[in-house]
Amino acid sequence: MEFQIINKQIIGRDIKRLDVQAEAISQKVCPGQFVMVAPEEDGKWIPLTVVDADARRGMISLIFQEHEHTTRVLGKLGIHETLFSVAGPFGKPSEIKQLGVVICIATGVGAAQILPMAKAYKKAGNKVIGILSAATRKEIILEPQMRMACHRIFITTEDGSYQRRGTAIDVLREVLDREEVHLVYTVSSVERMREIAHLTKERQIPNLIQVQTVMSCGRGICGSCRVKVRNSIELSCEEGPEFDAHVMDFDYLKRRMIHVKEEDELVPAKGIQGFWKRFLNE
Amino acid sequence: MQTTPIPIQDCEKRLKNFREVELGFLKKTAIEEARRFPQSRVPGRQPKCPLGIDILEFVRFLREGETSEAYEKIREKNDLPGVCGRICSAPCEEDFVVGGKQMPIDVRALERFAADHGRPRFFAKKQCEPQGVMVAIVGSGPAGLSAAALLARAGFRVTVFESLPHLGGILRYGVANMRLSSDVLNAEIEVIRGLGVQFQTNCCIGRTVTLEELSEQGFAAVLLAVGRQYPAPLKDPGMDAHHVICASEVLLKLGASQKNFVMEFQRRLGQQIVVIGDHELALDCARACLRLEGKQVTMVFPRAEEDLFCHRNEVEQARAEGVIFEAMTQFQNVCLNDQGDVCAVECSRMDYAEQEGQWIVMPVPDSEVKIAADTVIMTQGQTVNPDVKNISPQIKLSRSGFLNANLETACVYQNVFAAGHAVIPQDGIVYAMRSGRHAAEKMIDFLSGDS
Ligand SMILES: Cc1cc2nc3c(=O)[nH]c(=O)nc-3n(C[C@H](O)[C@H](O)[C@H](O)COP(=O)(O)OP(=O)(O)OC[C@H]3O[C@@H](n4cnc5c(N)ncnc54)[C@H](O)[C@@H]3O)c2cc1C
Ligand SMILES: Cc1cc2nc3c(=O)[nH]c(=O)nc-3n(C[C@H](O)[C@H](O)[C@H](O)COP(=O)(O)OP(=O)(O)OC[C@H]3O[C@@H](n4cnc5c(N)ncnc54)[C@H](O)[C@@H]3O)c2cc1C
Ligand code: SF4
Ligand code: SF4
Ligand code: FES
Repeated sequence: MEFQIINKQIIGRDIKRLDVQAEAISQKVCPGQFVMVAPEEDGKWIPLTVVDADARRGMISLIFQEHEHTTRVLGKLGIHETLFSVAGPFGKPSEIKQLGVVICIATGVGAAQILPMAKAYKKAGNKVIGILSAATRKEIILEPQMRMACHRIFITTEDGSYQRRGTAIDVLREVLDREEVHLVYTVSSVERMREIAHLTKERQIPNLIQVQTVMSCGRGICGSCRVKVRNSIELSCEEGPEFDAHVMDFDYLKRRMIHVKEEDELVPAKGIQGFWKRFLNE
Repeated sequence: MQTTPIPIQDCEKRLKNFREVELGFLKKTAIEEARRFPQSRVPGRQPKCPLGIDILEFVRFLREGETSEAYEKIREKNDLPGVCGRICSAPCEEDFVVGGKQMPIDVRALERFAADHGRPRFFAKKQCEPQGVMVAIVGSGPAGLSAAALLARAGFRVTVFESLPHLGGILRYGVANMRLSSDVLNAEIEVIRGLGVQFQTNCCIGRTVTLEELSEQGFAAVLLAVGRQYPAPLKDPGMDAHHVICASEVLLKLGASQKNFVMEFQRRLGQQIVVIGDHELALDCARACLRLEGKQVTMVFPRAEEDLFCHRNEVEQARAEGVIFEAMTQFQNVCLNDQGDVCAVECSRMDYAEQEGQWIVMPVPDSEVKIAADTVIMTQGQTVNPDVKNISPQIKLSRSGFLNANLETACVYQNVFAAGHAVIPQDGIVYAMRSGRHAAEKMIDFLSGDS
């Protein structure tokens, strides 16, 4: 049945994976494309990357972190329940070429968006090095899948609770000093992407990023996903979500990105104050 | 002689909800209004509906109280009577002259009355399964729906593909619910579904299903009724400020009144909103924003208030609701404060000037005026979505953003046709429907021609 949930997995702290029946989309989707998902009939549509697609069984897989209303509703749905609408695939498919050494960097839930890219580059015959980084150990997700998708993988956590301590950019500097790299692919917060873009610009290494702008339609109708590239406005749901980091205006992007609440805002406050906050929010 | 005004929700109440403002004629007033129509075919200028509805005929039926005949009369030429009765820009009403004197007649309200009350209760469910040639229609807007109805009646097997989750195109996602409620639209679409038309939503042609797959599935012809919804004005220089928003985003959220869209959008919109434009779309945006608390809305347009391309009832209702009209002002550009946020809108006043015996509207020199604003809504200049080009390489866009199609035969190339807002410049449901029917007729000739 169209848009029925076939399989559901809990991957990390409020991070879930859904395999959804979507016949036509599974045959058409290419790495880097996303779908507009609306779990409820008159609710909001949100963009989610297609992490995996199985054309034979007509199935696509989505991985998402529960944030506010829509993703929480998505998280509550169980197997055999159906989503109201899944449309797509939207976004420009990325051209995957045989370049040599490719570094894929992701922080937190960005791993969901980098996994299909790592797989595609590996299939195209590149040597893929993965760098996953997050605040704490619990936020590192998709480690096993990333290990399979990359030849080598480095994992860092800022509080050192897993493997190495440090941020993605320290690891990147090490790898860049050691090996001759042909492409760096980043999916992360705006600040991280800006730093990495700065670093790769100095060393003249091409750097691609995927933006997470606010998207209310995903089809080029509303214009809420606009970004500034080479001082001209582009719609990231049609020209993107993949862009060349060296020409992206990051200040403009910062105000267009989905405003991800910082750590403390997400954790529900305890006691009476928490009760009132939840009461007002629900 | 004034027309009897159509009953509407009172002002305070309607500002709190998104339900329909106009409540429609009662039976008594409708018949009275129909009686005021001249009986005979007065040679003066007749009311002309672009779709060719015989207005004098259907009003005659109304006068005799036979609403279902009036409904059938309208349905001969118009497949969405309930929709047109509510939001048609009603070009038929302007040029209605009787005995040399301009007489305003509310044809639209009569049409709405006929559509609401005329539909026979036991609508003969002739579930005809046409086995004829298969035709695909891309887009379920007014153009797509009227073409689908005409082709289905001619015995073709029609499938309408729609990329959004609900059918109706602008009628659902563009027109605010307060002017056309979605259950009226659903009822009209059910009537078309009864003719044997199949609908497929969440299916974007060119992305979910390609043109080659359509011809593989046996579709002999395709009609592109994709409309003009691409937010081109945001790409102009000086329009990249963050709170310069496109009207389609406003109405996508407030029109479809999706629950958590409205709350979230409320936070995003500023307090002082300026809407630029002189079409129904601008009026819709202004009135929809007024329904959110604490918003002050100004509408800026370079013409006089009576020349707005909106129905006069709606202009009066908007004025009563508190929309501030800045008539005769031409929008120049957006001025930003130092953080790069919108702080005001620079416009220049306009005035009538005489040129070669014609009155035209000219900007008054150095009459710049600044209107305070923190959100600007652009409502003009939408073009066809360039993404349509990857449906097939032969599809090209003209410089001004229309689909390149031969307007006479509505044909883009071989068996691909185009209709509606994507090819015609006039704004209006009734013109889009006329172009949809015209394209459908051309497709019938094309298909019967070579089959
Ligand atoms: C191309 C793309 C691919 C993505 N892929 C993934 C993925 O694979 N996994 C994943 O977890 N996430 C992904 N995201 C991000 C995902 O869309 C967000 O997680 C999702 O929008 C959050 O929805 P929510 O209901 O939890 O929060 P929302 O209700 O969306 O609120 C989050 C915040 O974003 C802003 N916002 C969001 N939508 C709108 C809107 N329409 N209008 C105004 N403001 C808005 C609001 O300020 C709000 O505070 C992707 C985003 C993009 C653009
Ligand atoms: C916001 C707005 C409000 C308006 N209000 C009024 C009004 O009150 N009165 C009036 O007379 N006129 C009004 N107009 C003008 C009138 O609505 C339009 O001229 C008319 O809707 C055009 O109809 P259409 O069928 O050509 O296109 P649309 O109504 O735009 O329909 C096009 C449909 O095609 C779908 N589509 C596009 N591309 C694809 C694809 N690749 N695959 C599948 N589906 C696709 C779109 O999702 C859309 O549903 C308004 C216009 C706008 C933009
Ligand atoms: S400036 Fe930021 S918060 Fe305001 S509308 Fe734009 S993206 Fe949303
Ligand atoms: S469809 Fe519009 S133009 Fe035609 S008769 Fe009705 S209101 Fe007048
Ligand atoms: S999300 Fe609406 S235009 Fe890109």
